[in-house]
Amino acid sequence: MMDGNSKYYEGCGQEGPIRCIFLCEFHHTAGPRITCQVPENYISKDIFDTVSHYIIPKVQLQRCTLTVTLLGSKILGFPVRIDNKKYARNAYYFNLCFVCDAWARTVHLEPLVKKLTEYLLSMELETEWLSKQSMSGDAKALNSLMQQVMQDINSRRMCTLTVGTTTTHLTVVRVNSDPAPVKDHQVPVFLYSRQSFVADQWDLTTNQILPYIDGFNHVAKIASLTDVEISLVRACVQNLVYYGVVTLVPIFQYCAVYSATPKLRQLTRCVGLQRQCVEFCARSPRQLPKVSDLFRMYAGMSYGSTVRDLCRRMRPQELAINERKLVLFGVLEGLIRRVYKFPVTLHNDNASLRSEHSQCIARTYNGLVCLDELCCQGGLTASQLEEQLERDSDVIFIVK
Amino acid sequence: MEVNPLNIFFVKSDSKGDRLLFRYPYTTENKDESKQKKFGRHNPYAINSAEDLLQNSQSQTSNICKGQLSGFTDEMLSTLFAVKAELCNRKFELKVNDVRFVGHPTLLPYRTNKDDTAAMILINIVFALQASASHSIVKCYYDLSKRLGKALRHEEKRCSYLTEEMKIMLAAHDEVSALDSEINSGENDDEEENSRHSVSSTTYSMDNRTNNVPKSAFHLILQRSSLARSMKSVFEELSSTGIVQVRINKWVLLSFCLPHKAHQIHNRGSIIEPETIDKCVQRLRPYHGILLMVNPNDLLASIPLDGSPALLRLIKLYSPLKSLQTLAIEADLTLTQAFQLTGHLVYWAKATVIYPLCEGNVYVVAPGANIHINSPLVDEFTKEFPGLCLLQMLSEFSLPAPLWYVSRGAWGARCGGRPARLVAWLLRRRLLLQLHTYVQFNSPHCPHWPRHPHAQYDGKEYFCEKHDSYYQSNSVSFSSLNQVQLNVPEPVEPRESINTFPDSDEDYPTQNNLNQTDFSHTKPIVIESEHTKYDKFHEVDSANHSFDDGIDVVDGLLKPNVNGCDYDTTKKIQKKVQGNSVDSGISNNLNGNGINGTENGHVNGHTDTKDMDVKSLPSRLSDLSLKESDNVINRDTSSDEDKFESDVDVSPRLRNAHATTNGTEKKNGVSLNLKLQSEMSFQSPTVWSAPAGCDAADACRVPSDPPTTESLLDTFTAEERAVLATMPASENPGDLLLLAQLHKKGYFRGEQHLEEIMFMENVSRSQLMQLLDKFKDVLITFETEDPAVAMLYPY
Repeated sequence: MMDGNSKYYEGCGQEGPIRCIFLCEFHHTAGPRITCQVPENYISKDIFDTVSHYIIPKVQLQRCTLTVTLLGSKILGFPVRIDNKKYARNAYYFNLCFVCDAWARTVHLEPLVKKLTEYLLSMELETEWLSKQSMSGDAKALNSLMQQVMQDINSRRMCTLTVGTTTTHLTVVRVNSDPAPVKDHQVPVFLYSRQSFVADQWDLTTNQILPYIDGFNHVAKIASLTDVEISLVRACVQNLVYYGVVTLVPIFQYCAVYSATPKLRQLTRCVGLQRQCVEFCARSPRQLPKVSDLFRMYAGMSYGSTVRDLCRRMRPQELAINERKLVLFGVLEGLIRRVYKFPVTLHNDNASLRSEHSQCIARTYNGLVCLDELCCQGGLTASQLEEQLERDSDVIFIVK
Repeated sequence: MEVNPLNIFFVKSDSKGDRLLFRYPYTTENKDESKQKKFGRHNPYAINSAEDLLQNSQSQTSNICKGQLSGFTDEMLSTLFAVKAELCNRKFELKVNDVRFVGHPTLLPYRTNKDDTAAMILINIVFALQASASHSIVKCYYDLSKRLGKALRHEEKRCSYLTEEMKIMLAAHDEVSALDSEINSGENDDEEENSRHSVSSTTYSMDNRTNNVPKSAFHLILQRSSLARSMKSVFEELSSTGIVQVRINKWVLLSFCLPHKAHQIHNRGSIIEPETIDKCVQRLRPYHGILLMVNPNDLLASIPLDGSPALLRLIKLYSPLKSLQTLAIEADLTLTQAFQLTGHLVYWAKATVIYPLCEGNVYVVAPGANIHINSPLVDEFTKEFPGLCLLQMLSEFSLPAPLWYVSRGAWGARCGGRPARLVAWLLRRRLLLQLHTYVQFNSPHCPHWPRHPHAQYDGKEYFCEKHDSYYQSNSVSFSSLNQVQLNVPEPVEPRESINTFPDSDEDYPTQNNLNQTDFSHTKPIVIESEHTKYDKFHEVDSANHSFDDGIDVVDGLLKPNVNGCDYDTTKKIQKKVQGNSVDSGISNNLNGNGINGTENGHVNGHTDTKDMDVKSLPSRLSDLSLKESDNVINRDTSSDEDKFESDVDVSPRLRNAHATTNGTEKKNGVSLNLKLQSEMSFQSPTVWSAPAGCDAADACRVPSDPPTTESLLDTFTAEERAVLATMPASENPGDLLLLAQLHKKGYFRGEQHLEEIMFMENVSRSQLMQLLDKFKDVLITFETEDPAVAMLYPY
């Protein structure tokens, strides 16, 4: 047990290994009991007795994923009951449980427990495999099956089980909240090496757009380059975001404004970050820029000064810096953040009057849509759009 | 909202079995709705999945229906919550599908009716939450359950409160079920059966029964039992404000705050976890201030009678213009106390941390600010400041400019020239974010920054966790992204080099090009004997320092704690120098000499300032400068010579200034400060640097080592001196010394913003700005937010 380790505390949000797998049944005379456990005696008889009514629960909790955190460990189960006259007491109750440490996150294991239970359930329904195993006394096949699940899931996060003629596959899938909808002006960037990306695992559309994800093309551009419908591109990118393969960054423009974040000072002390930054932002691998120049560039990014201004002032090409990559690196590492410009329509009485008359001319800007997005929608350049908006006296800009 | 509780349950378990005594809310949606749900949204085109291989396969995945708990019967819950004795008095956590139950089962003795033999009873107050609620939310609810349990145990012991209340509840249950079985027993049996067996049914058997009769048992209980009413108010306060103030049995006051929820009163959608607040409090500095989110008078009124008098004083003296240090002094608190009280106020969502309002502050619109044209803030703002428009106001803050500049604009006049109230309003809503200027000293020839900032890694390079792991695993995300595979260079010593900028090829010494370039201008790598040599100097140093102390005591000018603060800084420097010499390879054998010489200089400096004897200075100084120039000559950078001389000449004056700053009697400082505060209400709070402040600041910085003394300029490495020497600004010794002094104290590491330097070092903003301008080649400034303050902003 890793209780002593201060890195693992309850709520640390980290995933932990499966410590134990056991099968629990309701015995017609002895009540709930553990039929088979890997490793042996991880859950002692005493502990089991105190928690047994969460493992073989009342009728209404059948087929619910149950997780109970007690006495320093977490027990996940999916209790099942089979009604059939052939069993003693006319029903067969069982529950296959995973045990993890109390600090570990276990949401990602829940579908696994459920699937494995359903696999056992179908085998039981077809061949009475499970009840025969438990009758047999030592339950060898079941034991080795559980052993395999525990080993494979802990080491490879996936597992293929074959019993007789049936096969099932178990994979740990990360459970994340749904990513925000992808917008046309956003730019997908790979979070890890393209080489380690296994293309066969992904669908055809994703494979089609993959070569165009280079950290500079935005979604709308990718769509037009690949001749794929834009909503499909959005969906693919969102899917990739969910799996943590790509992340979204704002589109690079010379008129864009960035601001340094407190994380920028990392660049002055973390050697690893410095090296990555130098390698990444170099114009050519033969001539590496200086860290101090890179830092100076980042430090120059503030509200009110665009990338264009910065480039004019610092002349990155002479410093062997690729300013696009510089910005990309900064955004990815959180050294800088994009400062967006939002047009907002003021609520004047005039405006509301006029909008009644000519709704399509004076579009209202509600403060949720930034210039980038508007440019992308309207197919305008930023300067064109800005000019257009500045003529409208009701529209003001808020920069944040 | 995952912060809100779904339900609160009260379960007892004793010799007579377990029972769900009370739950709130207890009404459920009526049957029509549940039927609608079943049949209403049924797609006629959907294929019926007849392929149900598995028996009774409609497994339930959700137990939340329209924000309410569903699918659990009361009997079931009571068996689940009535835990075995072994699990008592510890955390109980059970997750069923997407509902998480958390509670603290409490075992307590209670008096049975007649005989006084104490039997044990288990009570469990359980909260049902959404399973997606974060761990820190669950922890808070657990804490609340525990406190309720304790309060009940206390009241049971004091006056058998629990026994009485339970009697009322059980009686009500019995009454209703008796009534129920009388009226229609047969009818409901089927239904009850149904609801028991089909898990997806959204009705409770208990409520089914009671729906038909005018009163439900829980309704009766709520009328009759004060405990039930307390629980109801706990639930309602949690759902509305997140702040619970309940008096159990009109006796035990239970105050509880769920910060995740409480902070949403003022800022919708911002979830602040207690852990964030802890981190923020740890980073508090004396110059920070507080901004109350509520009216101070209301806050004072809401504090219970037994509230801490320190807190009351603090609130009475509160002003957003004051720094915590000022507040602490005025309220007669220690700084730590003030920090703790601040943390407390922030936790309870009564205050937020700011940099005290002043006209020089630079604000911009916060990235997370809600600028929707129909947001309620717009109306609130117009109500508060008639004639002004929130959005227009925010657009004024589009460019970073000091407040005095912004307020000169159109709106400045309209708000009566007092922008403080307006900015405070905007800050409270987290619409504005303050930017600070940070300064990073950049030694142009030495790309090897990490050695500078902290000497704490003894010869090892510093990697933050993330990048360390990258390098360990050798899978560098960015290089691979870049399609470039470079050999990751090993840590390399910075070379001493000439004053001019070298070709950019050379200046980032990767191992590769180090191998290629000749070593003619690099010094040989450190020899072991060097090290031992330094150790000797150590001893001398410490001896000298103790002598130094002696002087202080005799003179009585400097307070011991002031000295201690000096100590810390010098320690740091020593460490740095050591670090340089040992592992950086700036191992010119003259360095030792240098230390010796400069050390003399330092001690001299001290004595001189104290004696105010400037006349005796030159002789000693010439001594020193000779040594220094020796150094310099040997180093082949002869241009340094005059620079050093001139520095040393000037040093006493500045030292003098410094000493007086630190040495100011505390009382003087207080009165001065108070006076200033009262006079200039809207001024920067950077008037003097009190010893306490220094202590706090120093303590935050670097772990201590054996102390030595050093000359100010020795804080620069040889290359840095060389570069400085080329700059015209270095001609002015005063500027150079200020630079050295600030650099020595570690202000140019991008960690302290200008306001902090002003606060700590008693320099004026214009002085600093001039300095920054003059040395802009080596001082890089960047503007960003103060992390301690920004932590409380939603991103």
